[in-house]
Amino acid sequence: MKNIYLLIGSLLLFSCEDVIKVDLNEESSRLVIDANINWNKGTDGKNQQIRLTKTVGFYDQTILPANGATVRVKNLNDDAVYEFEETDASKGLYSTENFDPVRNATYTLTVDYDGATYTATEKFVSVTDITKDPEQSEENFFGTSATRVDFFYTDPADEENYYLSEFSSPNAFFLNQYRVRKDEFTNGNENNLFVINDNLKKNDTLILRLHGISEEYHNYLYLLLKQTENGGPFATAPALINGNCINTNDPENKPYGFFRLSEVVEKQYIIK
Amino acid sequence: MKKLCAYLFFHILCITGSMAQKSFTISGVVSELDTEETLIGVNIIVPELNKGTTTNEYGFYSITLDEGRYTMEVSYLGYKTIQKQVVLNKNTKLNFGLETMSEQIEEVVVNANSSRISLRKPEMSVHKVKVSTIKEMPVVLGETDIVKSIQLLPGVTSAGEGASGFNVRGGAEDQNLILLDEAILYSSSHFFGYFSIFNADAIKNIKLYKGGIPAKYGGRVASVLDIHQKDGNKKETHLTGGIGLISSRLMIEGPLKKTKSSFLIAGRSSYAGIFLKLNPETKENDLSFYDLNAKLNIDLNANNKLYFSGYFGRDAFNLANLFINSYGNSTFNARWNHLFSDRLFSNLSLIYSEYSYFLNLDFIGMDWDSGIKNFQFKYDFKYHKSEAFKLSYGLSGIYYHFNPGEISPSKENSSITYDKLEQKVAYEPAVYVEAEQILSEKIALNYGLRVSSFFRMGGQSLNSYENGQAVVFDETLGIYKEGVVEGVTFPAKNKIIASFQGWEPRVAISYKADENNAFKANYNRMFQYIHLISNTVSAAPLDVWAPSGKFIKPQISNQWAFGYFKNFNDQKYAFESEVYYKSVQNRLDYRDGADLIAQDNIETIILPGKSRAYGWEVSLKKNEGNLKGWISYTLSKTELQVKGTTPEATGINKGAWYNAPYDKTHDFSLTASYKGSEKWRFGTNFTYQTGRPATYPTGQFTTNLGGNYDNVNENITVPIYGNRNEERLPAYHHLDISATYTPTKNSSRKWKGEWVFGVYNLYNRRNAAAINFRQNEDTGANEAVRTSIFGMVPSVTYNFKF
Repeated sequence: MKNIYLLIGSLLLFSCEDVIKVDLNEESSRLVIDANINWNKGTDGKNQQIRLTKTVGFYDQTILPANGATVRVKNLNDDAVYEFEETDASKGLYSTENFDPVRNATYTLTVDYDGATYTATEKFVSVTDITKDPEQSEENFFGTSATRVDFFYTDPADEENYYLSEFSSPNAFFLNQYRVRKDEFTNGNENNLFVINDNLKKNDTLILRLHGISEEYHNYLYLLLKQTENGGPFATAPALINGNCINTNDPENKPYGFFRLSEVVEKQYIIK
Repeated sequence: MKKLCAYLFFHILCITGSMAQKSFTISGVVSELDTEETLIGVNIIVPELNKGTTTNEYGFYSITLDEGRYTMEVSYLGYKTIQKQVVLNKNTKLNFGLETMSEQIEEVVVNANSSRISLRKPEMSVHKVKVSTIKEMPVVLGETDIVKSIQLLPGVTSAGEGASGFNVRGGAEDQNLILLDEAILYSSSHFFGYFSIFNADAIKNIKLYKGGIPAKYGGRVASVLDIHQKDGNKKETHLTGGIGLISSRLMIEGPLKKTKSSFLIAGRSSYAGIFLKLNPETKENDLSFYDLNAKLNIDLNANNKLYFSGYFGRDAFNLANLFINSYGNSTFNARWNHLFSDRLFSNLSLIYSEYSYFLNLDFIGMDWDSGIKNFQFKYDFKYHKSEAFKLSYGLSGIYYHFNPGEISPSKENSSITYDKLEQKVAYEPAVYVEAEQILSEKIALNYGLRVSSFFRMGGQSLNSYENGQAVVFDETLGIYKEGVVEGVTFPAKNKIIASFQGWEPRVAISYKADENNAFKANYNRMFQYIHLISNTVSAAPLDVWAPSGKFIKPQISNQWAFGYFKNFNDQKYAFESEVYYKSVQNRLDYRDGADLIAQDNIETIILPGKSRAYGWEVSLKKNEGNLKGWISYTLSKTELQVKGTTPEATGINKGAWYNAPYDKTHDFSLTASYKGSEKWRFGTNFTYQTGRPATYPTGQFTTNLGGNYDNVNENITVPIYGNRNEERLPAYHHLDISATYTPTKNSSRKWKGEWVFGVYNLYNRRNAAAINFRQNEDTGANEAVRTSIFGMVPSVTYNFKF
């Protein structure tokens, strides 16, 4: 009887995916502001970079740089202004070497590009420590074994916290894994962040970088990450991803991207 | 109190009214001869007077005529017609037993309604489908599917394969009232919509109201799907079952006390995980479902009957104990049929219904429970004053308990803190009265009124927001945000925190132009007080229901329909054409980026909008002969509109009307069955639907999340989406065939078996369930990926009866 099932079963074709050609409308190009200010714990945080690019057609593989912009960041608490100079025109990179990060200070970003002024305001968000050592274990998924590593941090109980976690490994190749988190259901507790990956081998380095982020950035990134894996009957309706940057000359022509300032804690782990 | 008085007044009026009449009443029950299973919708006609009636949901009929000699003609398609001479000189009880027409397990019957009566009744926008018809339709993997079969009717569609529920005349999934033996079901799907929860063996009758909804139904704005379970054979014990590719079914039914009481127990279970294990990509998952239907009915005496019925169904999903998921409906009800007189039928129901969802995420140590349950009390009366005037009236009260989520740590070292989202309680009482009146040979009327109310109770914390706005529009950033909480109150449990009242008129009229042509029209207004919070294309199992209250207003629909009905070629063919227009107020949509999961303040994520739907439906049915079936076509449009609350706020698509996710311009279906010989019967379906609306990207950008811009691993490609639902998936169509083989040696044996062979999607069309826009993992290039669910799927099922 079982064999009959297998025989019939093998004839069946279920859910499958294929690449098809879909003609798409194209909207006019807009500015993309990648302004990630990261301050690793234990460093001075003076070197900072901002990237300006432009949107392209959906099938277009290029990253189009936005050149010739004036980029400034101002600390609203002490009125210090940091000018970002264009350092790599082919990539649209703008840099400074004298940035002064201050926890909980409010900063504004101003970009003058192509006759328009773009601005954004954001707070510098601090982050808790990774105190405990990571723990390694094995997970078995129906015979396939994968390495699991748990990292731990303790959420501060007296405030609402939002986190961006980033797992990467220079040895075992996998795209960096990003996840956002809030402490709504885990306030004040010890939290774990984990990776389960079957590419991880003995002596590989696994890096966790934990960023403190604002609620606005959490909501933005939550949606953005969801959007990039969009599809299927249980997918949410795709939406426009609105960052915190605005176009002061033409509000309709809003830039994409986000101005974020985070304190970052990094923990490395060598796979046993 | 006023309502109660009015109701009692009606009651008394009816009883006294009956005494003043001179004529006599014949009443009774019509059932199947072999099993004594009562039959719904049987025609009882008096040819001398060209008058008649039909049996109700409990097989009861009542007809009042002047003293005299009459012929009673009792007919039901698929059964031998009975004619009986009656001398009417006193009130008479007369039960009929109808003999089935063939020796097969069940006869194929497309339309149970004798057209002679249906043309004169104002009832329209209604479909009755016999379970035997559904059983012969070719379906995916041979799993008889009631929800899929009603999608072949005009005006009924779904989001596609592997999508739950169904859409009626531009209604959303949560706007369908699904009743199983009068109990409300909150979900109709297994396996995320691949299969429906109804075990066809245990089902007697299915009726779908798309419009002209009688006043006794309320609570949803689009449709009513009224399903009755079988009562069970009152004469002999029988086993019925089937072995299919996905699941097996077994039902036992029989008398507890011959002709007086019967029971039925039916179970269905999938073969755990096989379905997924066949697919190499999903073979590491385990997924199964099961259903249990049970019924008990007791005839206390000629005037009193008791019914108990229940349903329990679950889907279970387990991924190596790291992810455990189970959800489903359970219902239980007790009903008491009582005849106050030959003309006054009553039914009292006590109903419990629940939908629960459980999730365990072991890797983060979390348990999640959510659900909705309700208790309902219902008392319905039908008074048969005369052949020309019948009055239905009754009352209903529903108590709802909403659990939007309870989160708890599932193990000792879990980082999860116990939390319970605000539990919500509400009451929904309603009273109704409706008259069926025959004005003349040609004109008949149905008119009624339902008055419903909704009381949202305290016992939960309640936010108040700055400027009364739970959702605010940030003009600088151009996005919607949560409102600013100004204060929190905690009203007492017995305090009403919001109340609504709905006056719901229902009117239908029919004009019978001649023996074969009729025109009909109807209007109904419906109120819906509870809402399924779902922002996915098709409702997902974890979606929660939310009651109306301070921030969510009830949905209100108004529908007008007009139809033309024609029988021709000696009533072998029936042609129906209807046009409708429906509008719904307070339809909810969601702000971009709304997080629905574990959302305690639903008011902060919703944007109230409205919807409108209009369409033209046409169908041609062939009711008799070896070849039977129907062709239906629907041309329709369904749109939504969400305007900004302030002039600056954008709403959705800048406040313009946009396509509803279930808008299907063209919907064509053909279903046919052909009896080749005593041994072989054949069936076919063909469906063509316009692809469902979708949102496509208009561009993309690369963003960096880590801050190391030179590290390509940190770059994410983000598609930029255009206006919502502006594009469409490719057209959806497939052709299915089936063949049923009944060995002839059956007729003399007690064991009766049949084989059903089927092929779903014969020409292997790759219908797009979704088109995803994403980055290829190897090349890094963006591409459009089509997900199609069922290619050509052959199946075989063995059904038996003993």
